[in-house]
Amino acid sequence: MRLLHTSDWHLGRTLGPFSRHAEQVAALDALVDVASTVDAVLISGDIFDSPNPPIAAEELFFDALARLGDRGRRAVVVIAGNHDAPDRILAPRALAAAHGALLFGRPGDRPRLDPGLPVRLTSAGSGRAELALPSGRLAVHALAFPSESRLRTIVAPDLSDEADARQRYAARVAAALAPVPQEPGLLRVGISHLHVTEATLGTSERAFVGGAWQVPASSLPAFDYLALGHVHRAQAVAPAAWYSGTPFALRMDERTDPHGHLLITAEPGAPPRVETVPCGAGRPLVRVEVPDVAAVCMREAELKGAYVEIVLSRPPPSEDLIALRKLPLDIVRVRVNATPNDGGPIEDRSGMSDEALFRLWVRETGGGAADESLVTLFLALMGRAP
Amino acid sequence: MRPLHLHVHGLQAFSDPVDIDFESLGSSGLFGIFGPVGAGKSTLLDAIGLALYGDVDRGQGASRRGLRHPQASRVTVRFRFEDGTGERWRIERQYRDDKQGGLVRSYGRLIREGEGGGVVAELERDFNTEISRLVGLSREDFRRAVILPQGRFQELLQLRGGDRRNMLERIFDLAPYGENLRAGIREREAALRTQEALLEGEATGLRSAVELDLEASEVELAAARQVTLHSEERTRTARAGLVHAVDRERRWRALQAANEAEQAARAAWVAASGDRERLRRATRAAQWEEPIRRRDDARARWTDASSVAEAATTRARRATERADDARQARSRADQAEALRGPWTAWTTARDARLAASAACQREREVVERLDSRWHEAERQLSDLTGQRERAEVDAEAAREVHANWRAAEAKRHEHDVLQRATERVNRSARQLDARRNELRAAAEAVAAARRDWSVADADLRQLREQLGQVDDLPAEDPAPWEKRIARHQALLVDQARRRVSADRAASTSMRAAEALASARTLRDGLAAALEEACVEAARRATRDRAAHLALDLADGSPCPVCGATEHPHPASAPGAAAPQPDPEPLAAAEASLRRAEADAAAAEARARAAQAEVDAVAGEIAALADPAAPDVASWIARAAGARESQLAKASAKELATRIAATERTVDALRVRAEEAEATVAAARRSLDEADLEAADARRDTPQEALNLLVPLRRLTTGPEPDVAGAEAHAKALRFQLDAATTDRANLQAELQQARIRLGAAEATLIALGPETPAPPEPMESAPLPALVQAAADHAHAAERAALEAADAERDLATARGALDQAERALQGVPVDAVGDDPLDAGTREQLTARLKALDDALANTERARLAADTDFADAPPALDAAAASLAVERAEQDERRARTAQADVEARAELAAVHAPRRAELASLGQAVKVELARLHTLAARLRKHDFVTWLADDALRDLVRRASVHLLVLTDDRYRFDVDGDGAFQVVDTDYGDAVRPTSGLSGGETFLASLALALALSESIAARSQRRLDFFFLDEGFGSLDAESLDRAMTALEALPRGHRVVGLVSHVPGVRERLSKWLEVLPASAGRGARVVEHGG
Repeated sequence: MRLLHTSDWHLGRTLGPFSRHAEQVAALDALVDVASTVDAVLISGDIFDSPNPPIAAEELFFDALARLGDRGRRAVVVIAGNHDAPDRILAPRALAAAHGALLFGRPGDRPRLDPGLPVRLTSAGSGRAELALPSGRLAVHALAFPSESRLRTIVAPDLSDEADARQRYAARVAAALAPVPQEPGLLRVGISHLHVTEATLGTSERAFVGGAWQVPASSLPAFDYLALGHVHRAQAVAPAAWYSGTPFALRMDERTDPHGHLLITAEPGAPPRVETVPCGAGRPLVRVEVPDVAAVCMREAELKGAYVEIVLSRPPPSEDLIALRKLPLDIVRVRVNATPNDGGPIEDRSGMSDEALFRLWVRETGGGAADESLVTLFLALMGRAP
Repeated sequence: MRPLHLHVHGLQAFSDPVDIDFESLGSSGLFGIFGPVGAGKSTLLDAIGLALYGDVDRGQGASRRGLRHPQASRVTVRFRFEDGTGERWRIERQYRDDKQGGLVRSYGRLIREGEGGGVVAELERDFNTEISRLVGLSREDFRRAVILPQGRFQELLQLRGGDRRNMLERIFDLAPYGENLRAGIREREAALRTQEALLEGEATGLRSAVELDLEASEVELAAARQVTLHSEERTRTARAGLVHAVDRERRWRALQAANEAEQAARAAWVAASGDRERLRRATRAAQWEEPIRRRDDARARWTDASSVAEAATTRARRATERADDARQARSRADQAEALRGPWTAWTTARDARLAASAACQREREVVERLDSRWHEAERQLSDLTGQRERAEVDAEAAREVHANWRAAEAKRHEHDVLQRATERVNRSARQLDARRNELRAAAEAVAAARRDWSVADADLRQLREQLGQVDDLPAEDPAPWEKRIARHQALLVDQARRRVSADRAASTSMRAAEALASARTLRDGLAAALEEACVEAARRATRDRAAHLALDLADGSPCPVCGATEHPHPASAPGAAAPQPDPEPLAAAEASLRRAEADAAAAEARARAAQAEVDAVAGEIAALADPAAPDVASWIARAAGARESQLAKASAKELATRIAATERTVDALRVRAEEAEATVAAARRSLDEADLEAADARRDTPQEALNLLVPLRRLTTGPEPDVAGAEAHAKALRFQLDAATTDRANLQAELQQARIRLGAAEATLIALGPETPAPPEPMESAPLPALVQAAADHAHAAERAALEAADAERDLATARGALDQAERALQGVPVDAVGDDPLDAGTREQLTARLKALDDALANTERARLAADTDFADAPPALDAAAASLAVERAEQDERRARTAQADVEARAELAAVHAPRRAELASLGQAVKVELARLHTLAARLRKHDFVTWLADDALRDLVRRASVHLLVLTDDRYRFDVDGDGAFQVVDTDYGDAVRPTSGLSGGETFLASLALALALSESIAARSQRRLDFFFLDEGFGSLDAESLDRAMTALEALPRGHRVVGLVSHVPGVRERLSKWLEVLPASAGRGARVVEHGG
C-alpha cells in the first residue's frame, strides 16, 4: 500500500511581513499531483498557523481536502496540531465525509465517512478507524495534539502511580495510541502531533517546543508506520516513525533543514520503505552577513526572489534602514551581529553591604575614595555603627 | 509575600462564601483561574487587594459603593499569607452598609499567626504601616507589579521617571537611603546645634564668674608680681640708701673721733711736754727720776682720764636713757600703725560688700525687667503666629483660587493649541499632496534619466569591448618576420642550386658505386669461381683420399679412421684430378676493383661535400625556424597579424577617442540621473518629513481632544484673581513674626546675660564672706615721722655719748696702761733715785720713745683726720639717714600694698585655674561638635548633589532591564529586548530590524503583554535577589487572548520554565489554550438563579 505523509502546513503563516500564501498554493498543487499515485494521505497536524486563520488559508485547506480525497477515491486522515483550533479542523466534517477525509480535532474523536464511496469505513472508535480501500485494509489510530488536559479527558488519571510528570504524560500518550492487534492483511498506521524526545529540533524550536510534554520514542506503540507532526525538520525517530516536516522552510533557521513530503510503501508486518518527495515550492531563504547596507545593494541581483535575512556587523543609521526598505528585496529581518554596547557586564550588587554601596556611590559620583569619617557618619546615620 | 488562603463572602458576585487554598493550588508554581466573562475571576484578585489595602482597584473610591452583593449583609474577606521571613499573617476585614449606600468598615484586624502572635493592627493607619512594611508595596505598586490587571499591563512598562523611581525605592526598600537618611542628618544637625548652644552658654557663664580667664589672670598676676618685684627693688634701694647714710654718719663720727683723738693726742703731746722737760732734765740729771716722774705723770693722767671717763660714762648713760624713751615712744607709734592695717582692710571690705549688694540689687531689677519684657514678647509672638497662620490659610485659599484660574487658562491655552494643531494637520495634508506630486514627477524624471543612462552605458560597454579586443591584439613588428621570410627564400634558392650539384655529384658517385659494384661482382665472381675451383679440387682430393683409404680397407681389419672392422660401403675409386684454378683473371679483376673503389670513393667524397653544402643551407633554413612559429606559413601569418594589429591599433586610437566621448555622455547622463535621484530622494525625504509632520500633527490632535473643543470653548476665564495681596499680607506678617522672633531671641539672650551677671554679683557677694567684727581702732598719736625723728636723734645722741664714753674709757685704759708702764718702769728704781733727775739712760730712752710715740700718735691722728675730713665738706649727714629711713618706710608700705594686690590676683587666678579644665573640656567639646557639623554638611551637600537613592534606584533599574531583556528575548522569538532611554523610560529594541528602538507605547497588544510579563518576571527575580522582602507571587489577569498561537506557546513555556519553589504565578484567563497547559486551575462558575458564584478547583 502506498501512503503519502505530510504535516505542518501552517497555512496563513507569514515570514516577517510576507505572506507565504502563493507558495503554499503551489506546494499543495504539487502535493495533489503526487497524491494521485497513493492509496491514503496522512496529514499530521498544524494545518493552520493559528487558531483563527485567514479565510484564504481555510479555503486552501478545504480545496486541498477535496482534491486529495477526490470523492473518496483515496482516504485522507487529518488531525489537529497545537496551532489548530480543534473545532476549526472539525468544522468541515460533513463535507469531508463525502470526500473520504477523516478529521480528528481532539484525542478520542470518532471519525465518520459517507457510505458508498470507494473508500469504506468498516469500523470506527475513539481516535480509531478501520478502512477498506480498493488496495487493502487500513487501520488508522489518530491522536490529535495531546495537550495534558485534552489527554486526561480520554485516559483516566489512574496512571498517577508514575512518579514523574513526564513519564505520566508519556504513559497516557501510549495508552491513547494503543493499536489493535496485528492481523494478516491489515496495515496498522498511527498518526499524531507531538514532540518525540529523540527528534532533532531547529534552533528556534529548541526555545519553546518541549517542556514537560515530550514522549521518548521507546514508549511509542509499534505501528507499521507512525506519521508524526510538530517538528519542522523531516526525520525518522524510529524505523517506522517519521516526521514529514514542513513542506518548505517556514523560518530562517529552518532553511538548511530537510523538508518535503514522504512517500511510503508499506506492507503489514514489514518495515516501510520511505522516500522523500520535495514539495517543489517555496522561495529560497537566504541569510547574508554584510558589513553595511551598501553591501546589500551590491548583491541586489543575487538576492532577488529570495527571502532575505540581513546580518549587519554594526547598527545601521536609520536612513540606511529606510534605504534598505526601499530596495526591491523581500527582507525578512535585519539583525545586528554586534553585541550591544552596554558598558560591559553589569556588576551584581545585590549582596553588597551598605558600607560597600556607599563607597561605590562616592567613587562613581566622582568623589574618589570615600573619607573614612564620612563612611562612619553614614553608617551611624543608617543606624549601623561600624 | 506568598498567599496561603483566601476567604471571600459577600463581595460582588460571591454571595455565598468562597474559600481558595493557594497553598495547594500553587504547589506546582503555576495555576489558573478560569471562567466565563463576568463570572468573578478578577473579583478574587480584588478580594486580595481589599484585604491588604482596604480598597478595590476598580474605581469605587472610598465609598466602596456596589461592592456588596445585594443578598449579603456584610462583605467579609480573610486573607492569609506568608511574608519574606516565613512568618504567617492573617487579615480579616468586614464591611457593612453605611447610610449613603456605600460600605463602611465593621472591623479590620491584622493578626500574626503562630507563637507569640496576636492582633498587630486594627486601626486603618496601623494597617497601612504594617502592610507596607510586610509587603513593601503601595496599593498602586501592588496593582502594577503583582496583580497585572486586565488591559493595564503596560502601566509598569510605561511608568516614567519619578513614579518608577519611587516604586523601585519602595520595592527595594531604599527609603533608609533617602528620606530617612536626610531626616537623620537634619535631626543630628539640630541636636548638634543645641549641644553647641549649651556648651557656649556654660563657657560664657564660667568666664563671667571669674571675670578673667586663665590667660588674662596670668597676665594680671605677672603684672602684680612685677609690681611687687618693683616695690621690693625699691625697698632694697631704700635700704641700701639707709645703709649708705648710716655709713656716712659712722664715718663722719669717725672723723669727729679722729679730730678728738687728734686733739687728745695733741693734748697728750702737750701734756707730755713736762715729761719732755723731765726727760731733758732726767737725761740731764738722773736716770731714775725720769721713770718716777713719768709714773707720777701717768698717775696724774690716769686720774684725769678717770674723771673724764666718769663724766663721759655719765653722759652716755643719760643719752641712753633718753634714747630708750624715744624708742619706747616709737614702738608705741609702731603698734598704733600695726593696728591701722586691719582696720583699713575691714573698712575696705565693708565698703566692697555694700557695693556688691547694691550691684546685686541692681542686676536683680534688670533681670525682672527683662523677664517681664520677654513674657510680653512671647505673648506678642503667639498673637503674631495666630495672625500669620490665618494669613497663610487666606493666602493658600487665594493661591488655590489662582491655581484654578491658571488651570482654566491652561485648558483654554490647550484648546488654542489644539486648534492650531488641527490647522497644522490640514496644512501638512495639503503639503503632503504637493510633495507626493513632486515625488511622482521626480520619479518619472529618474526613470527617464536611468533609461538614457543605461542606453549610453550599453553603448559604452560595447565600445569598451571593442577596445578591449583591440587591446588584446599582440603588439608585434612585422619587419623581422618579413626579413626572415626573404632570407628563407634566398636560402631555398641556394639550397636548390646546391642540391642540383649535389645530385649530380651523387649520381656520379652512384655511377662510380655501380662501377665499383660491378667490379666487385666481377671480382667476387672470379673469386667465387676460384674458390669453387679450389673447393672442387679439395672435394675431389678428399673423395680421392677416401677412395685411397678404401683401397686399403679389408673386411675384418679395423679401419684406421673409425676402427670398424666391417666395411660395407667402401669408397669408390678416385676419379680424375680437378684442373688447377687460374688466379690471373682474379688479379685483373682485383686491380680494376681497386680502381673502381678509388673512383667511387672520390665520387662519394664529392657527393658528400655537395650534400654537406645542401645540409648546411638546410641547417641555415632550419635555424630560421622559431619554437613559436615553426614554419613559414606561421611566419607569414605572424607578419600578417602584426601588420593587421598595427593597423588595428591605429584604428583603436580613434575608438578610444570615441569611447572618451561616449563616457562623457554617460557621465553627463549619470549626473542627470543622480540629480534626478537626488531630487527624488529629496522629494521622498520631504514627503517623509511631511508624513512625520502630518503624523505628529495627527498624534498631537487626538480626536477625543478635538471633541473636547466644544466644552473647552465654554471655559472662558475671568480676570486673574488677586493672590499677591493675600500673599503680601502673609509675607508681611511673616516678616513681623520673624522680627518678633528675633526680638524675643535677643531678649532671651539679654535676659540670659543679665542672669549671668546677677549670678556673678551674687557670687562676688558670697565670696566676700560675712561681715567680721571690727578690729580695734588705732589710737591717734604724734605723727610717726616726728617720733621716728626724735627717736633717731636720741639714738644718735646716745650712740654718740656711748662712743665718747668708749673713747674716754679707752683713754682711761691707755692712761692706765701708761701708768702701769710707768709704774712698771719704776719697779727697779731705788727710793733714793726718786728725786730730781735720777733718770737713767734707759728710762730716758723709753721716755724718748714714748714722746716719739706721742709725736707719732699725733701725726697719725692728724693724718687720720685729714683722710676722714675730705668726705665731709658740709654739715654732718645725720639728716640723710633719717630721710633714707623714711624712704625705706615708704618703700616697705608700697611693697605691702603690692603684695596684697598680688595675693588678690593670685586668688582670682586660682579660681580661674579651678575652672580651666572644665573650660578646656567645653572648648574641646565645642570643637568636636563643629567638626561633626562640618562632616554632616559635607555629607548633606554630597547627597544634594548626587542623590544616593537615585543612584541605587538606577542600579536596580539596570539590573531589572537586564533580567527583563533575557525573558523578553525568549518570549518574542529572539526579537525584542529592553533598553532604557535618556529619561529612564523603558523602550524596546527590535533586533529583527537593525536594533531599531521603539517606545513601549508603540507595541501591539500582544507584544505589550509579553513585555509586561517579561518585566513582571524580572521584577520578581530582582526582588528575590536584592530586597529583604520577597515577591513570591503574581497574577496575570487576562492578556493571553492577544497572543498568537506561537507567542502563547512561548509565554506558557516561559511560565512553565520558571524555577519552582516558592514562586506562584496565577493566570486569569478565558483562553482555552492556557487552561490546557495547566495541571491545576480554579473554575469560577457564574452566579445563577439565587445562587452565588462558585469556585471549583480542578486538577491535581
